[in-house]
Amino acid sequence: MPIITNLDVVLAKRKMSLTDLSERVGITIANLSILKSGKARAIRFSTLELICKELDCQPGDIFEFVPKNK
Amino acid sequence: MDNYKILKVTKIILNIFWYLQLAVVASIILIGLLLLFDVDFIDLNRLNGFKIHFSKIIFSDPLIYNGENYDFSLTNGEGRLHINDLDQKFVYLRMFGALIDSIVYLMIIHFLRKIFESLTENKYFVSSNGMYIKKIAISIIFLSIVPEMIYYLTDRWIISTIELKNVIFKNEFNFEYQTILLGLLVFVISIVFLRGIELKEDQDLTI
Repeated sequence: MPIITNLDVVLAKRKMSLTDLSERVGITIANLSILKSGKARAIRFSTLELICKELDCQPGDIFEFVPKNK
Repeated sequence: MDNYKILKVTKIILNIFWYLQLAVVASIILIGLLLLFDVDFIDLNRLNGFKIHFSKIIFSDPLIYNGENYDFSLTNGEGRLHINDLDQKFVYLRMFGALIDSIVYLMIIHFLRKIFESLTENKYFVSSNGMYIKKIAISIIFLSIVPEMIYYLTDRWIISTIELKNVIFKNEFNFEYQTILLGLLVFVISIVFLRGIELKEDQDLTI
Protein backbone atom coordinates (compact mmCIF):
# COMPACT_ATOMS: atom_id res chain seq x y z
CA MET A 1 0.00 0.00 0.00
CA PRO A 2 1.38 3.49 -0.86
CA ILE A 3 0.41 4.92 2.57
CA ILE A 4 2.94 3.92 5.21
CA THR A 5 2.30 4.21 8.93
CA ASN A 6 5.11 5.57 11.10
CA LEU A 7 3.23 5.11 14.36
CA ASP A 8 6.03 3.05 15.89
CA VAL A 9 8.51 5.88 15.16
CA VAL A 10 6.30 8.47 16.85
CA LEU A 11 5.66 6.15 19.80
CA ALA A 12 9.41 5.62 20.20
CA LYS A 13 10.04 9.39 20.13
CA ARG A 14 7.37 9.91 22.80
CA LYS A 15 8.71 6.92 24.75
CA MET A 16 5.27 5.41 24.81
CA SER A 17 4.19 1.82 24.25
CA LEU A 18 1.25 0.69 22.17
CA THR A 19 -0.47 -0.47 25.34
CA ASP A 20 -0.13 2.99 26.90
CA LEU A 21 -1.55 4.63 23.81
CA SER A 22 -4.39 2.13 23.72
CA GLU A 23 -5.35 2.94 27.33
CA ARG A 24 -5.14 6.67 26.77
CA VAL A 25 -7.15 6.89 23.55
CA GLY A 26 -9.60 4.05 24.25
CA ILE A 27 -8.77 2.06 21.12
CA THR A 28 -8.04 -1.64 21.47
CA ILE A 29 -4.47 -2.88 21.13
CA ALA A 30 -5.68 -5.14 18.31
CA ASN A 31 -6.87 -2.17 16.27
CA LEU A 32 -3.73 -0.15 17.02
CA SER A 33 -1.64 -3.15 15.94
CA ILE A 34 -3.56 -3.26 12.66
CA LEU A 35 -2.78 0.43 12.19
CA LYS A 36 0.86 0.03 13.15
CA SER A 37 1.40 -2.96 10.87
CA GLY A 38 -0.03 -1.14 7.87
CA LYS A 39 -2.97 -3.51 7.44
CA ALA A 40 -5.59 -0.86 8.11
CA ARG A 41 -7.75 0.11 5.14
CA ALA A 42 -9.02 3.39 6.58
CA ILE A 43 -8.95 5.53 9.69
CA ARG A 44 -11.75 7.70 11.01
CA PHE A 45 -11.00 11.35 11.58
CA SER A 46 -12.19 10.98 15.16
CA THR A 47 -9.63 8.21 15.75
CA LEU A 48 -6.86 10.23 14.08
CA GLU A 49 -7.75 13.22 16.22
CA LEU A 50 -7.48 11.16 19.42
CA ILE A 51 -4.09 9.71 18.41
CA CYS A 52 -2.62 13.05 17.32
CA LYS A 53 -3.89 14.71 20.50
CA GLU A 54 -2.30 12.05 22.68
CA LEU A 55 0.99 11.90 20.77
CA ASP A 56 1.09 15.66 20.24
CA CYS A 57 1.82 15.30 16.56
CA GLN A 58 0.44 16.00 13.12
CA PRO A 59 -1.26 13.41 10.88
CA GLY A 60 1.70 13.79 8.53
CA ASP A 61 4.01 12.57 11.29
CA ILE A 62 2.12 9.31 11.47
CA PHE A 63 1.40 8.74 7.79
CA GLU A 64 3.68 8.94 4.79
CA PHE A 65 2.86 8.55 1.12
CA VAL A 66 5.32 6.46 -0.89
CA PRO A 67 4.34 6.04 -4.56
CA LYS A 68 4.33 2.47 -5.88
CA ASN A 69 7.26 2.93 -8.31
CA LYS A 70 9.71 3.87 -5.52
CA MET B 1 -35.48 -25.89 13.91
CA ASP B 2 -32.72 -23.29 14.23
CA ASN B 3 -30.28 -22.31 11.50
CA TYR B 4 -27.45 -24.47 12.79
CA LYS B 5 -29.56 -27.65 12.75
CA ILE B 6 -30.82 -26.85 9.22
CA LEU B 7 -27.21 -26.43 8.08
CA LYS B 8 -26.16 -29.68 9.74
CA VAL B 9 -29.02 -31.62 8.13
CA THR B 10 -28.31 -30.08 4.72
CA LYS B 11 -24.63 -30.94 5.12
CA ILE B 12 -25.55 -34.58 5.81
CA ILE B 13 -27.84 -34.68 2.74
CA LEU B 14 -25.06 -33.19 0.61
CA ASN B 15 -22.61 -35.79 1.88
CA ILE B 16 -25.04 -38.53 0.85
CA PHE B 17 -25.40 -36.95 -2.62
CA TRP B 18 -21.61 -36.70 -2.83
CA TYR B 19 -21.11 -40.43 -2.24
CA LEU B 20 -23.95 -41.36 -4.60
CA GLN B 21 -22.52 -39.15 -7.35
CA LEU B 22 -19.03 -40.49 -6.67
CA ALA B 23 -20.43 -44.00 -7.14
CA VAL B 24 -21.99 -42.94 -10.47
CA VAL B 25 -18.68 -41.51 -11.73
CA ALA B 26 -16.75 -44.56 -10.53
CA SER B 27 -19.17 -46.98 -12.18
CA ILE B 28 -19.05 -45.12 -15.52
CA ILE B 29 -15.25 -45.25 -15.44
CA LEU B 30 -15.23 -48.90 -14.37
CA ILE B 31 -17.73 -50.00 -17.05
CA GLY B 32 -15.81 -48.03 -19.66
CA LEU B 33 -12.55 -49.74 -18.70
CA LEU B 34 -14.16 -53.18 -18.64
CA LEU B 35 -15.63 -52.58 -22.10
CA LEU B 36 -12.31 -51.30 -23.36
CA PHE B 37 -10.51 -54.45 -22.24
CA ASP B 38 -13.33 -56.58 -23.64
CA VAL B 39 -13.89 -58.44 -20.42
CA ASP B 40 -16.07 -61.54 -20.83
CA PHE B 41 -18.59 -60.89 -18.10
CA ILE B 42 -19.62 -57.51 -19.55
CA ASP B 43 -22.12 -58.09 -22.33
CA LEU B 44 -22.33 -54.99 -24.52
CA ASN B 45 -25.72 -56.09 -25.76
CA ARG B 46 -27.08 -55.84 -22.25
CA LEU B 47 -25.92 -52.25 -21.79
CA ASN B 48 -29.36 -51.09 -22.81
CA GLY B 49 -28.26 -49.69 -26.15
CA PHE B 50 -27.77 -45.98 -26.71
CA LYS B 51 -30.15 -43.09 -26.94
CA ILE B 52 -31.25 -41.80 -30.35
CA HIS B 53 -33.58 -39.02 -31.36
CA PHE B 54 -35.93 -39.34 -34.30
CA SER B 55 -38.10 -36.86 -36.09
CA LYS B 56 -40.28 -39.53 -37.71
CA ILE B 57 -40.76 -43.29 -37.79
CA ILE B 58 -42.96 -44.54 -40.63
CA PHE B 59 -44.68 -47.90 -40.09
CA SER B 60 -45.56 -50.05 -43.08
CA ASP B 61 -48.27 -51.94 -41.22
CA PRO B 62 -51.41 -49.92 -40.61
CA LEU B 63 -52.89 -48.99 -37.28
CA ILE B 64 -56.18 -50.73 -36.57
CA TYR B 65 -58.78 -48.61 -34.86
CA ASN B 66 -62.33 -49.82 -34.46
CA GLY B 67 -61.68 -52.46 -37.07
CA GLU B 68 -60.46 -49.98 -39.69
CA ASN B 69 -56.92 -49.52 -41.01
CA TYR B 70 -55.14 -46.20 -40.72
CA ASP B 71 -51.70 -45.11 -41.84
CA PHE B 72 -49.72 -43.63 -38.98
CA SER B 73 -46.29 -42.50 -37.90
CA LEU B 74 -44.45 -41.61 -34.73
CA THR B 75 -42.86 -38.20 -34.56
CA ASN B 76 -40.38 -36.26 -32.42
CA GLY B 77 -39.27 -38.82 -29.95
CA GLU B 78 -36.33 -40.63 -28.50
CA GLY B 79 -35.55 -44.20 -27.70
CA ARG B 80 -32.73 -46.58 -27.03
CA LEU B 81 -31.34 -48.38 -30.03
CA HIS B 82 -30.11 -51.92 -29.36
CA ILE B 83 -27.87 -53.35 -32.07
CA ASN B 84 -26.72 -56.83 -31.24
CA ASP B 85 -23.17 -58.03 -31.75
CA LEU B 86 -21.83 -54.82 -33.15
CA ASP B 87 -18.74 -52.92 -32.08
CA GLN B 88 -20.55 -49.90 -30.77
CA LYS B 89 -18.25 -46.92 -30.51
CA PHE B 90 -21.34 -44.81 -29.94
CA VAL B 91 -21.67 -46.29 -26.46
CA TYR B 92 -18.21 -44.99 -25.53
CA LEU B 93 -19.04 -41.52 -26.79
CA ARG B 94 -22.31 -41.50 -24.88
CA MET B 95 -20.46 -42.72 -21.79
CA PHE B 96 -17.91 -39.94 -22.25
CA GLY B 97 -20.72 -37.36 -22.31
CA ALA B 98 -22.29 -38.94 -19.24
CA LEU B 99 -18.89 -38.95 -17.48
CA ILE B 100 -18.33 -35.23 -18.12
CA ASP B 101 -21.85 -34.56 -16.88
CA SER B 102 -21.34 -36.62 -13.73
CA ILE B 103 -17.93 -35.14 -12.92
CA VAL B 104 -19.29 -31.59 -13.15
CA TYR B 105 -22.23 -32.50 -10.87
CA LEU B 106 -19.68 -34.01 -8.49
CA MET B 107 -17.73 -30.73 -8.52
CA ILE B 108 -20.88 -28.73 -7.80
CA ILE B 109 -21.72 -30.97 -4.84
CA HIS B 110 -18.09 -30.66 -3.64
CA PHE B 111 -18.25 -26.85 -3.71
CA LEU B 112 -21.63 -26.88 -1.95
CA ARG B 113 -20.19 -29.15 0.75
CA LYS B 114 -17.31 -26.73 1.26
CA ILE B 115 -19.73 -23.82 1.62
CA PHE B 116 -21.88 -25.67 4.14
CA GLU B 117 -18.77 -26.70 6.07
CA SER B 118 -17.88 -23.02 6.38
CA LEU B 119 -21.42 -22.12 7.40
CA THR B 120 -21.52 -24.74 10.15
CA GLU B 121 -18.27 -23.20 11.47
CA ASN B 122 -20.08 -19.84 11.50
CA LYS B 123 -17.93 -18.49 8.69
CA TYR B 124 -20.48 -16.81 6.46
CA PHE B 125 -18.79 -13.84 4.85
CA VAL B 126 -15.48 -15.30 3.80
CA SER B 127 -13.97 -14.97 0.34
CA SER B 128 -13.71 -18.76 -0.04
CA ASN B 129 -17.52 -19.02 0.04
CA GLY B 130 -17.74 -16.37 -2.66
CA MET B 131 -15.22 -18.23 -4.81
CA TYR B 132 -17.12 -21.50 -4.41
CA ILE B 133 -20.37 -19.81 -5.46
CA LYS B 134 -18.56 -18.40 -8.52
CA LYS B 135 -17.22 -21.86 -9.39
CA ILE B 136 -20.71 -23.34 -9.04
CA ALA B 137 -21.99 -20.70 -11.49
CA ILE B 138 -19.29 -21.55 -14.03
CA SER B 139 -20.01 -25.27 -13.60
CA ILE B 140 -23.73 -24.72 -14.24
CA ILE B 141 -22.99 -22.79 -17.44
CA PHE B 142 -20.51 -25.48 -18.49
CA LEU B 143 -23.12 -28.18 -17.83
CA SER B 144 -25.65 -26.51 -20.08
CA ILE B 145 -23.23 -26.39 -23.02
CA VAL B 146 -20.52 -29.05 -23.07
CA PRO B 147 -22.40 -32.33 -22.49
CA GLU B 148 -25.04 -31.16 -24.97
CA MET B 149 -22.29 -30.54 -27.54
CA ILE B 150 -20.96 -34.06 -27.01
CA TYR B 151 -24.44 -35.56 -27.39
CA TYR B 152 -25.00 -33.47 -30.52
CA LEU B 153 -21.71 -34.59 -32.09
CA THR B 154 -22.48 -38.21 -31.19
CA ASP B 155 -25.92 -37.89 -32.77
CA ARG B 156 -24.34 -36.52 -35.95
CA TRP B 157 -21.95 -39.44 -36.09
CA ILE B 158 -24.77 -41.94 -35.54
CA ILE B 159 -26.90 -40.37 -38.26
CA SER B 160 -24.03 -40.39 -40.74
CA THR B 161 -23.15 -44.01 -39.97
CA ILE B 162 -26.48 -45.79 -39.52
CA GLU B 163 -29.18 -46.25 -42.11
CA LEU B 164 -32.54 -47.39 -40.86
CA LYS B 165 -35.40 -47.70 -43.30
CA ASN B 166 -38.51 -45.76 -42.34
CA VAL B 167 -36.72 -43.93 -39.53
CA ILE B 168 -35.76 -40.27 -39.91
CA PHE B 169 -33.18 -39.46 -37.30
CA LYS B 170 -33.08 -36.11 -35.65
CA ASN B 171 -29.99 -34.17 -34.76
CA GLU B 172 -30.40 -30.93 -32.87
CA PHE B 173 -28.43 -29.01 -30.32
CA ASN B 174 -30.59 -28.59 -27.22
CA PHE B 175 -29.53 -25.15 -26.16
CA GLU B 176 -30.61 -24.98 -22.52
CA TYR B 177 -30.86 -21.26 -22.16
CA GLN B 178 -32.79 -21.58 -18.89
CA THR B 179 -29.84 -23.35 -17.29
CA ILE B 180 -27.44 -20.74 -18.66
CA LEU B 181 -29.69 -18.02 -17.20
CA LEU B 182 -29.60 -19.80 -13.86
CA GLY B 183 -25.81 -20.02 -14.08
CA LEU B 184 -25.57 -16.31 -14.86
CA LEU B 185 -27.84 -15.52 -11.93
CA VAL B 186 -25.61 -17.48 -9.56
CA PHE B 187 -22.56 -15.75 -11.12
CA VAL B 188 -24.05 -12.32 -10.43
CA ILE B 189 -24.81 -13.37 -6.86
CA SER B 190 -21.18 -14.47 -6.43
CA ILE B 191 -19.88 -11.11 -7.73
CA VAL B 192 -22.14 -9.23 -5.33
CA PHE B 193 -21.17 -11.57 -2.46
CA LEU B 194 -17.44 -11.08 -3.10
CA ARG B 195 -17.89 -7.31 -3.27
CA GLY B 196 -19.80 -7.48 0.00
CA ILE B 197 -16.87 -9.31 1.58
CA GLU B 198 -14.50 -6.60 0.34
CA LEU B 199 -16.71 -3.94 1.91
CA LYS B 200 -16.88 -5.93 5.15
CA GLU B 201 -13.10 -6.23 5.24
CA ASP B 202 -12.80 -2.49 4.61
CA GLN B 203 -15.18 -1.89 7.50
CA ASP B 204 -13.36 -4.37 9.78
CA LEU B 205 -10.00 -2.79 9.01
CA THR B 206 -11.22 0.76 9.55
CA ILE B 207 -9.75 2.06 12.81
